[in-house]
Amino acid sequence: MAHIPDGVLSAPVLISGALVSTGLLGVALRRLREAELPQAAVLAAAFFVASLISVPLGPSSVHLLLNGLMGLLLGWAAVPAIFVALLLQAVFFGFGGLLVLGVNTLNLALPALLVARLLRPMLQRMAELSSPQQRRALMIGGTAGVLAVLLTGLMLAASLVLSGEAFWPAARVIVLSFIPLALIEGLVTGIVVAFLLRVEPALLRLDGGRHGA
Amino acid sequence: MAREAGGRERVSGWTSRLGARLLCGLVLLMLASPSVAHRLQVFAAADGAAIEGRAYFVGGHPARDIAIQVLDGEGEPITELRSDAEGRFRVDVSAARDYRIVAHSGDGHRAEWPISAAELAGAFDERAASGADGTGSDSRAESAQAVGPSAQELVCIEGAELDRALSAAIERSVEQAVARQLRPLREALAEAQAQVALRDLLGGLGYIAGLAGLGLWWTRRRKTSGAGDTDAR
Repeated sequence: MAHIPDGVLSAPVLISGALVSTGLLGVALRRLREAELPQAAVLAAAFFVASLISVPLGPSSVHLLLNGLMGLLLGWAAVPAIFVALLLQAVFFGFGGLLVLGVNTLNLALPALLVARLLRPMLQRMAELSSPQQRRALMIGGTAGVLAVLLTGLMLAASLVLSGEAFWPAARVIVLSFIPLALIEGLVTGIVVAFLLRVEPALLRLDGGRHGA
Repeated sequence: MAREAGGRERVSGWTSRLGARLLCGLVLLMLASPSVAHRLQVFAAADGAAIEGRAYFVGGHPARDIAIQVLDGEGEPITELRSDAEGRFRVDVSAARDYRIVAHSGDGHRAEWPISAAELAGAFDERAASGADGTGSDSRAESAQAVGPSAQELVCIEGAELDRALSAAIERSVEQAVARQLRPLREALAEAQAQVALRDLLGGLGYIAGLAGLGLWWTRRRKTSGAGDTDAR
């Protein structure tokens, strides 16, 4: 799934994944501010643990990815959070390989960044309203979850196909397992965002759109 | 400025609390749920002159209908088959040599299991031995007739031959019985080794906390050493 093990992808895919991930990581680390660190660490920990709870779905097995939520709440800081969590999953759990770390990071972080770019400003504007609307928060969160998971699925399929994996079997498995997962993920992300808006809207406008957009 | 900083602290306090709750929930869920991991694993062992095995996701359900490749020791593909509804598969092999079983779920999961020639040797020894025995005793009988030994001598030779064949047969069947008995144990061991232990989980969380602490310490240090420009970044 989102954790591709070693020995599946071809060298050009591995190298370009590693290069792009390194670039993103560099940009993200330069933008990282002190106030974001605890948040990033906690979400990285949640992401790290979430991979352990998997359910059988279709011919494969899936777990929550949480990259949409990370993009929404962390913006650029999601990149190092995802990287660290993936690295530790590879080392401690044997999920995904070390050589494919770059590709795996890219597959999860790029959708998170897209969500940050498209939906984060929207969420921040809404959080600044005097009477925040729960339903809209649910919608924004849900869209973030669905979008991020679907995009991750697409990128995963692309990395497999570019490495010479047969297209149809890969596409079939990914469609069968990622579409249901996207729905679950959207629900979870929406509920978390709506909850945050209710209990602490200030959290969502933490940086006032300074670099989320 | 001060108010803003206070707000930020409050906010990150909230996040941490919420995140901690989310994390606790996930950890509890993980400990409670029967299927706790997400990694393809394949186990295979010789069963007579066949290789029998099972593909599954660690800690849980079988990997249904996925591609299983049989490679030889050098990685040359020999045959390909699919796992059944319980993730099981069985393939007959033609010689006792090293094999590698590779399972592929098509969506980027892959697992491998080696089979050594020694595991299969029993079944092929038996075939070779029974073939050799047949011709051996025939030729011996012929030569015995040609030389024309006494009836008693013949019985002696046959007795010794029988003895040797019998002990070889016993050895083989003991070997097979032991392999059969050990199989579930090996399978369980392979599965247990692949499973995530609580110490792995806690170790990873510790690293994340440590890295965050390191990051905070680093930024704090840079701030205090670069006096004045506290809000430069």
